[in-house]
Amino acid sequence: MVQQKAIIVLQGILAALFVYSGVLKLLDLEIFAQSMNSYKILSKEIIPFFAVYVPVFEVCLGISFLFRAFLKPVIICCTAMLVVFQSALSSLIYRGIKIDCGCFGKFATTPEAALLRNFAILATLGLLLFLLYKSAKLQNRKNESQSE
Amino acid sequence: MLSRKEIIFIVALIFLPVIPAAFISGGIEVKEINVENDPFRKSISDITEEVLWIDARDQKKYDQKHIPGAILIDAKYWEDGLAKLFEVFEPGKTIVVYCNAGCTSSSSVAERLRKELGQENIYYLHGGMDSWFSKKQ
Repeated sequence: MVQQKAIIVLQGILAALFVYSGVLKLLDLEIFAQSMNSYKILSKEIIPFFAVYVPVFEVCLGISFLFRAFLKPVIICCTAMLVVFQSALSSLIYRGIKIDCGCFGKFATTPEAALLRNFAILATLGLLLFLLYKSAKLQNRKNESQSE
Repeated sequence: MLSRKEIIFIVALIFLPVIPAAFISGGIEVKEINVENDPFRKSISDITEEVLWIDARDQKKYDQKHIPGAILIDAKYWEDGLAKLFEVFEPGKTIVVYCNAGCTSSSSVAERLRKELGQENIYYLHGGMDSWFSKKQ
């Protein structure tokens, strides 16, 4: 019971976080495109495409968190996206580029702070996956005992 | 392992944002800003004269810590900030705008002030407020 509640709470937190982050970027796509350009990783020609793709993807992920049936694939997609973000942020820190990470639209965050925050989100995703695994195991045991 | 349904869901999730991205991205312009050569960017070591400091963060951050004598101009409350600036403003005096390291509000506030005051010697501080405090230590 506690596990189920914890899963619902984590689902809600992650859904809100990803929708919020995506919407803030969508509200000012020019600023997000400019932030992406400051990373000096992607070429200027493809930045506008990814400046729209990333926030829409985040909103889709956020909404998908609300559907229990697809939690596992959503966690996989989120982890993959965060690994890409972490690589980009690490390259900024390595190259000594001090810019706003662009993670939450106009709200400025340094690359170091964003890196730590993403680690916290990854840990939350890990916890959610662990709880799902435990909950599924418990359900299997219940089913087995009922069939016996 | 993932079921067939879950794999289809992942593929759909990856390809769905392509549609809005393909349609909207054409209207986004990426401006090339070469910060290294920006004449309005000043490092703390470049500031040798007495300047008027402008804090481009919000009230809460300003209350926590700011450069002594700095005037708060939060872009959200532009008119209030400008009114405070005019109380101490001396035409021609160099103005340096700062925020935290990694933020962008100082450059936009400096640009807006240059336009509104019609004065060119308004710069933004590279490295943010921390660079000033590091120099003082």
